[in-house]
Amino acid sequence: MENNHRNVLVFGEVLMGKIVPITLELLAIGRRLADDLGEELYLMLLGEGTGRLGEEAITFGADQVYFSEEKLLNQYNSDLYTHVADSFCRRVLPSVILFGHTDIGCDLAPRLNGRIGGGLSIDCMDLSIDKEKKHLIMRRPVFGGNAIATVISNRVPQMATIRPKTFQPLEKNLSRQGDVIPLEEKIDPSLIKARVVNYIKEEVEGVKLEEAEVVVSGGRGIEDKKNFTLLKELADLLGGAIGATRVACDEGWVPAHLQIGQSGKVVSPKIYIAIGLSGAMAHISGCLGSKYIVAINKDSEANIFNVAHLGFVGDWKEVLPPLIERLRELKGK
Amino acid sequence: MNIIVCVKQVQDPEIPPSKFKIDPETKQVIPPAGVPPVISVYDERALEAACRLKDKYKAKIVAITIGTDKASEVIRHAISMGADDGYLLCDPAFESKDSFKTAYILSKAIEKIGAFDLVLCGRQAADWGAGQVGSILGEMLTVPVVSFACDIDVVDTGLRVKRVVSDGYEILEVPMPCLITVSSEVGLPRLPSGMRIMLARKKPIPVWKATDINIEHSLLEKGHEHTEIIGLVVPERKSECEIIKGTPKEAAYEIAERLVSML
Amino acid sequence: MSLLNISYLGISGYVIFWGMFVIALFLFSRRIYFLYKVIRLGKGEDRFDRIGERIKYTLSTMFSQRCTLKSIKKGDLAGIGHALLFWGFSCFFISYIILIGFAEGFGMQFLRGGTFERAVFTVLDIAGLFVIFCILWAAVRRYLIKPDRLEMSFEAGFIMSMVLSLMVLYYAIESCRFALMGESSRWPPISMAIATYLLEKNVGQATLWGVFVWSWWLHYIFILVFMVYIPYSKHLHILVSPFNLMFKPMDRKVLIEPVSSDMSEEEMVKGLGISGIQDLKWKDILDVFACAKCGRCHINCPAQLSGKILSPREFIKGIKEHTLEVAPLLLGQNGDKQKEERGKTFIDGKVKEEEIWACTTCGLCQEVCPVEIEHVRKLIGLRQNLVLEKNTMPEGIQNMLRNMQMRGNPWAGAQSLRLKGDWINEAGMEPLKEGDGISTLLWVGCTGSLIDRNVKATISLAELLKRAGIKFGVLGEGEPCCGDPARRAGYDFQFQILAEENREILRSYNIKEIITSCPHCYNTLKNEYPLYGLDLKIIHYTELLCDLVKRDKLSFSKTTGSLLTYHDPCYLSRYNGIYQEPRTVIGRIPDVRYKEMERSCKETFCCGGGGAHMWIEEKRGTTRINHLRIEEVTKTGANAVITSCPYCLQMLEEGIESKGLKGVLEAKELSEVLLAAMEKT
Ligand SMILES: Cc1cc2nc3c(=O)[nH]c(=O)nc-3n(C[C@H](O)[C@H](O)[C@H](O)COP(=O)(O)OP(=O)(O)OC[C@H]3O[C@@H](n4cnc5c(N)ncnc54)[C@H](O)[C@@H]3O)c2cc1C
Ligand code: SF4
Ligand code: SF4
Repeated sequence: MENNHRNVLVFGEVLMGKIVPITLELLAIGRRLADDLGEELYLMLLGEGTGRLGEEAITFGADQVYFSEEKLLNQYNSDLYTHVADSFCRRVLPSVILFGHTDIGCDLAPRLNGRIGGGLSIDCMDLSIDKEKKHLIMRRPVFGGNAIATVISNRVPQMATIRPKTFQPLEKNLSRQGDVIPLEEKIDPSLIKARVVNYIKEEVEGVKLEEAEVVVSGGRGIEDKKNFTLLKELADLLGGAIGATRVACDEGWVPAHLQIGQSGKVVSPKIYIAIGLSGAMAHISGCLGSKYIVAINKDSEANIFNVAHLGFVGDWKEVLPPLIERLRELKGK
Repeated sequence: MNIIVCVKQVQDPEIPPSKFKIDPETKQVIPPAGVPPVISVYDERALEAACRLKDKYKAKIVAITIGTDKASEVIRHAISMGADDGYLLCDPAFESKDSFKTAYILSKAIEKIGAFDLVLCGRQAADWGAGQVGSILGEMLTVPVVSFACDIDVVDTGLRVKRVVSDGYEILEVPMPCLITVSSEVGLPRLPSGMRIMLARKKPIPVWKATDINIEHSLLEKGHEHTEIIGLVVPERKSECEIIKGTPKEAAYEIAERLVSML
Repeated sequence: MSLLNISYLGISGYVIFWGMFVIALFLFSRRIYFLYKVIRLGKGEDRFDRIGERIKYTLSTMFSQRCTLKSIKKGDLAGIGHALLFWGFSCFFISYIILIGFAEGFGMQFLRGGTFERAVFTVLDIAGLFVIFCILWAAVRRYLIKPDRLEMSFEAGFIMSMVLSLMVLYYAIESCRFALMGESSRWPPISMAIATYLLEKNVGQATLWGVFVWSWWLHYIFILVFMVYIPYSKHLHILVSPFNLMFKPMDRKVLIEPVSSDMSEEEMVKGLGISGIQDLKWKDILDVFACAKCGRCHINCPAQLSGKILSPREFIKGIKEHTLEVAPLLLGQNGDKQKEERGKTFIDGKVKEEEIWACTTCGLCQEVCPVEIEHVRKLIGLRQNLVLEKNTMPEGIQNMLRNMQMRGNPWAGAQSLRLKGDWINEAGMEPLKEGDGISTLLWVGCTGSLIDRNVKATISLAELLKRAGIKFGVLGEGEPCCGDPARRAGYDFQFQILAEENREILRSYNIKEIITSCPHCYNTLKNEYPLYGLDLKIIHYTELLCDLVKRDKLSFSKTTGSLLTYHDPCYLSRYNGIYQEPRTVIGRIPDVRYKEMERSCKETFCCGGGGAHMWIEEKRGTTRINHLRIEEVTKTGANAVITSCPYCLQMLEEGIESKGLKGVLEAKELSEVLLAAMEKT
């Protein structure tokens, strides 16, 4: 691939004045890629107050940090971010761009790609460099996780979105040197086509799903809304949260935000209890990071038993009540 | 309001892992016997979103798909759900997994269909899941793009879109014409009414070839792909699951002990 | 002694007699004509084929009173009462025509006097006693015992007192007449006895004459009132039910009306399925007029018995009331009004949506109905309208239909996709290939190939057939759904699409004969597919096994130990008359212990799973249908209940489990029991 694109760019995200963990994870993998390519690692940060985060980013592996203190960029706006990223890339010509597989990344990466004409793979689980061809090799699940595809891009920039917690951030290295460079471009507010007019936060009671140590998940086998209260009871006892498969969300038994899987949340709790769900790959890919998976399913051939550590073949309705009762006893002691 | 919905026929994504087979040589998935292909889930929900707009306002829905002649089934499905017309874009030259090519073909078909107010796509396909055709198509059509919508309504300035984010929803307003990609939170798609099923059965579905929509053949040639799949494997998973024997109650007690010991 | 030769207040008796008759006849005919026009509002349907057979059936049923007597073996003795009343009143009816009509009215006095008259009165005398007895009995039942199936009504009381009065007047007339004539004889016994008594008591001639004259005229007036009243009341069934018997469906008990698929768009917009009377067939309207409100359907319907809101009797009554309400407007000349009324539906008026979905299409109502009313096709017609046109249906049905549309089988979920066809490997078989030369197909059905429990039964069946040396093939993964759940749910187009596709599949394999394991598949393939061009030999496996054991191709060597009972699947026994076959086969198990349930064979009681009810969350009634059935099973003391239907098996098993009978009672598919009774080969 003959071209004049060089260097790896990480698109950074900031929340409440801090660089979010996924960005640090991206810096780690970006660092490795840049080293393998023999190129530099850039980071881009947008919004007021990002300038002072540059030094910190450098300690996590960045060589150059570009930032814009533009007020208009404080909140994510698809149109503006796409524009800024696009004009930046046309100027700096990175060969690789990395995004988090987050709300922002999932929206921005495809749009930027559409504008700039690179090659994008979303939801990558692994990235490496073909050192001979200086290609980025991306591996990503396809067919709902039933298969893994290896993808290369014939165009630059080569882009990827990566799920949070796929990589470990680097150790903070205070001795690292780098530049923090402001972006001076003025932004024309008329570029905004789709305007955010409101934001509705979904209230979660109890522990947040992504942060819970224990997740109790239910699927089609739970059969109705009422039965989910039993799962909730179990989750509460264990100090955890409840999750669900898409079927359960579609049926309206639980809110859509509790969906775990490929198109839902990704969780990696200590204990994942899967009840009355078959373990479709599209669901499993959202909980594979769990340390210990317990499955209760009446179908002995259900796929969930292929990933679980502990399983019981039977009707959950006969298991859950004594389980809850026993847990109470044990906890009471 | 003129709505165009882009839909895709995919191999049934619900087949269990044990039935999922690939040919690593050709990097193709081998369709399992007896399991017919289906409309991609998000696309079906995009159709549902379009139909809901049509229920509420005056709208004309046109569905388009790129696929083999078998894919006319998804157009029929779209019509039975509520689309007024549908076209099958079928040409050996269209065969590709590259999102840019797909978007290019769609954009040409949309050009031929004519003026539109809204283009709807699923957020990603249920098979390869590249998740970018909508955004690329939006750029090609030079219209604003909103992704991951779960609800769309008409307001003075254009459309009001409810968009799914990880801890809630964003409400956006966007002028028309625009392109919106739809997420599964739209909710279950409708069951086609009997009347529409028969209507869809009888409706002829025009097939457009490359020449019908003024495609520059050279752009579809090999080597123009932006991305390329160079490998496909089925991950090996060995089961290490310990299955508890005994009555449900015994099992419950066993599980309880283990859970408590781990916390 | 003709009373008509006398003048009353200067008016000739003949004039009064015929005058009253003409008025009554006018009122009567006007009503009948109206009802006729109402029936004609229904859509056309050919029920005039095999007319000789139909007439023969009607007459023999009516005069033998088979229709009402069939329920007495279940302890419902009312049938005897009805039969006696029918025969008794028939005698009177004939005598009215001969003695009053011809002899008096037309002055054909030669019909009177002599042995003939003596004989007629003797018969009437005795018949009268029966009639009075029956009326009193009916009154006691209706007003004191109050069985579930009957409702209190003014009509019934009125008619009963009317008939009773007619009888009393009859005895008054005849005894006075005999007393006036001073005759004495032993025949007719009762009137003569009273006459003798009157003479002994020296009742004066004038009194006798007065009572005679007044009674005679009153009697006559009552007859006319009765005649006019009948078509205005529920006793309309007296007039209509013979026709209803005549126009019954001939070969099968339960028919379903397909929704025509080659309608134009305009026709479709007019309506699909049944929503108002304009959508009914004429026979459906005849049906509602034929209903005697006897309530036999009401006390047998599983939906009703388990506390759902559906009662087939009330359902028919609802349609009747609606029809009588709307019909005058529909028949009237007022164009606007007519249009307005045409749009009126019974749905959520006289018939509730919940009712429509509560029916399991078990057909028991039709089996017990003495006048051959067809409930099921109306209920399905209403579902067709709800599903095809209004797009409203229970959630479970919606999911089932969506799955059927997308994936070609009614069962959702990962399991169904995994198992489809997998059972073949377990059974050591291979799917049929074109050109195999095998022309017999074992059609397993979705449930038998997708649901764990049923798959086990399927494997036993395949093994059984192999051991019997039957050469057969299976389609495995390629086996489509027969479409039964879609049709019963009213999604008729989907059914038709499947039927046509399946026809092509089966033709491509050159299949000549199909053995089905599921009664629902059996019913659709055998009875409903011919309309879509597939007319193969369809046999249910129980028929085949019966044939095999009779020809000694299959025999059993081990006894089962447990006490068995057999649950007849509705779609096998009632719908298709197959109930002897499984019993024959069970009878061949050595030293078998078997006990019949109270309700069996054609009058079997539903498991709760038919009519797409496998996918409807059973509305909470007082109990569940399968629980009722399990209670009946336990009454036999059986340890195993055998069936030959995948739905029944699931329902019975669920019933056993939730009633806590696991370990005491088990549910088995016939093929499993039989395989266990064979030596290992
Ligand atoms: C593009 C795409 C994206 C998707 N994204 C997601 C996603 O993010 N998250 C997600 O969850 N799904 C997702 N899906 C859907 C996924 O493929 C499956 O359809 C879904 O996860 C299945 O849900 P389930 O396990 O609840 O249902 P099923 O697969 O039907 O499984 C139900 C299970 O419950 C068991 N069961 C039933 N009753 C009982 C009982 N009484 N006791 C014990 N066990 C019982 C059954 O044996 C069965 O194994 C996606 C699909 C596609 C195509
Ligand atoms: S078919 Fe069965 S469930 Fe339906 S109304 Fe008749 S008796 Fe009741
Ligand atoms: S429908 Fe038949 S069984 Fe039911 S009340 Fe009427 S006559 Fe009796």
